[in-house]
Amino acid sequence: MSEEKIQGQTGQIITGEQVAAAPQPARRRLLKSTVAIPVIMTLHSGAALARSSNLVGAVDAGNAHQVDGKYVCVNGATPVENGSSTYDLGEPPVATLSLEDSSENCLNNGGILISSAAYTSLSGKGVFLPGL
Amino acid sequence: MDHWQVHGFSSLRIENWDGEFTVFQPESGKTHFLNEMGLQVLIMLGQSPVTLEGLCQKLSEYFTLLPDTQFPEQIARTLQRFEALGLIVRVKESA
Repeated sequence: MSEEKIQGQTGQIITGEQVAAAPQPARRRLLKSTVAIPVIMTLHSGAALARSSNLVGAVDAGNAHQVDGKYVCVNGATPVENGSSTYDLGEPPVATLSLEDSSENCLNNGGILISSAAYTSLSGKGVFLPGL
Repeated sequence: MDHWQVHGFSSLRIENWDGEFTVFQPESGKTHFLNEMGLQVLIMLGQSPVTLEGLCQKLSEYFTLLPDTQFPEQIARTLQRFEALGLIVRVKESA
């Protein structure tokens, strides 16, 4: 497949094997654009987006929701990707909340801290602290 | 030294949008948006397993880049990202 053909295929689906034969196109454009590093952005699947209301973001201790001076800790949450600070509680949302004297008690046991807004949102979906 | 290669390259659906690319990954249902260099990383790793150093050299030649000490670091981060997304896998060098 020629370089020109690859360049002109806007909107056309091509397979990985076909693209592998392609090449040399971007050199001039890349030099013009000065963007000489790979750029990656990912759109998650529709199913994942549909569950987005049950995604929570981990926050640091300074922004964490507290009850009676204790940190609300969310246990059992799964990060949407390795290294991500966004956690998926599933559909319906499932998590075990606990109150911890220190943020370390939560974080060191695999839990995450959440904001007051996130806590309010979870409470509205049936995820409560035991005894409340 | 670790080599890297694309996992299921032929299954990826790649679309060219005037020099920017969408890559649909059927296995995960995710769609990735890549620039030209991001796509070239995938293409090069789809042809044969390559080390980080080898990949940097190939990319430098392909894009006629000047030597840059930060470039390998940037590419290493890209490989980690691709690995986390399940697009590439690490393979051990054969004896």
